[in-house]
Amino acid sequence: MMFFQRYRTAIVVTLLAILCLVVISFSVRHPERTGVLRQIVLECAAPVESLLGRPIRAAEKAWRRYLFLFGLEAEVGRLRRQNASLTRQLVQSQEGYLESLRLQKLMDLKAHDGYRGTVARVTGHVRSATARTLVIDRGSAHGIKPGQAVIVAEGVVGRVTEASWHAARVLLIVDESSNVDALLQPSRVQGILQGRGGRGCQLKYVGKMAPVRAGDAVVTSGMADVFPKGLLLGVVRGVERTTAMFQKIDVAPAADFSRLEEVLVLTGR
Amino acid sequence: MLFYLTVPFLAFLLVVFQQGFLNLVFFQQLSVEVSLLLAIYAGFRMDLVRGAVLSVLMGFFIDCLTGAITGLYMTAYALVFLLSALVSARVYVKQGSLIMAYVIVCTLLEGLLVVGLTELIHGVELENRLRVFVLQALVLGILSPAVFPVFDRVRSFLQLDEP
Repeated sequence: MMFFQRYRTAIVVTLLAILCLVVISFSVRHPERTGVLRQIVLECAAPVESLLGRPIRAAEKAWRRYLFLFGLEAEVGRLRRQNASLTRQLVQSQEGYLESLRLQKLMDLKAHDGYRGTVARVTGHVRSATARTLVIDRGSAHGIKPGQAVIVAEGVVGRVTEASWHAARVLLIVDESSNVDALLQPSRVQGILQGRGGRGCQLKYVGKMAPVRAGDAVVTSGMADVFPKGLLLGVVRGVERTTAMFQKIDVAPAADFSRLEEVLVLTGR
Repeated sequence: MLFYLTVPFLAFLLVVFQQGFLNLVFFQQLSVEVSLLLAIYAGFRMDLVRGAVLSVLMGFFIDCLTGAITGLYMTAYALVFLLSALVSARVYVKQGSLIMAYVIVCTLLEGLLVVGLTELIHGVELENRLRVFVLQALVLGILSPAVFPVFDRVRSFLQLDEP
């Protein structure tokens, strides 16, 4: 015992050296052998390691998911911007396409009737208690003069009442001060189409014996030389026969004034 | 006797925790060998036989869990422990900066030993692995002044010094 106490350090160092050398030598000589102790350690460590690693793996997974979501947020932002840009482009393209269709219709109309015309864009609607007019972006600089007819593919819109250099006012056929020489297409009976504001138009001075039916087309007669002959003004909506000399004929205008964007001003032959 | 009964389990748990948990914390890029700190601590503060047993056990467990040649880390830990015991007999190591410097030196020594022995036995070149040990040495060096008092508390709590 005294010997151990006296040479304790030397004995421990020697034992340690021998142990290490033996273990390492054995391990190097027989690398294919897994010692029993090593197997036991592995067997015990696996479940403990798995248990310890679980929260870390969960945290790692959450972190990776967070990073993924972070990236996804940026991606969603980019796609939203792209979507907005493409939607804008699509709307612009559709607008351009529809505009070209409308202009094509107007150009066809001009060519068909042999009239010279100027296409104008509607820049304003005036719907006061006393007037129903439009403002267009073409004026005397483009050959627009008061009295000229304004039409669209669907029918007559009205006539120019005043024109500045680069703008003009158009009196709609529904305005109560508007009077247009008209005739009923099936019966060729003539009359005057007068505006009634929001209620459409009324065909006046048609005798009570004249055959008029709902659905009959009302066209320009070409008498006053303002509108070319045969342009559609509207369709008979209803007829009221009274004891008076003339019938009360209610006419629905052909053009939809609330949706006008471009019009054709007939500037001459 | 209590020491010899409990220390294998504690050493085992420490090494498993170190290999399983700490390595994952550092995304398996860096091995934070708290067990090496414990071997150094054992050299400074513990009885020679007990420290040697603890170091050898921890080295063996690391050999088993890392898949290294059996005896590789065992030898490295035993050497680090003996060196620490030798140093503690000559120098009173209590200052944080001194502990840090010593831990860095020991970690680098362990790295050199592990790489050197592996190269010698397997005949492969592992010089590029040395930089991992440099980083590990720095991390352990920084951690050591905080970890040593924890070891003190654990030792007194478990009364491992009782004969």
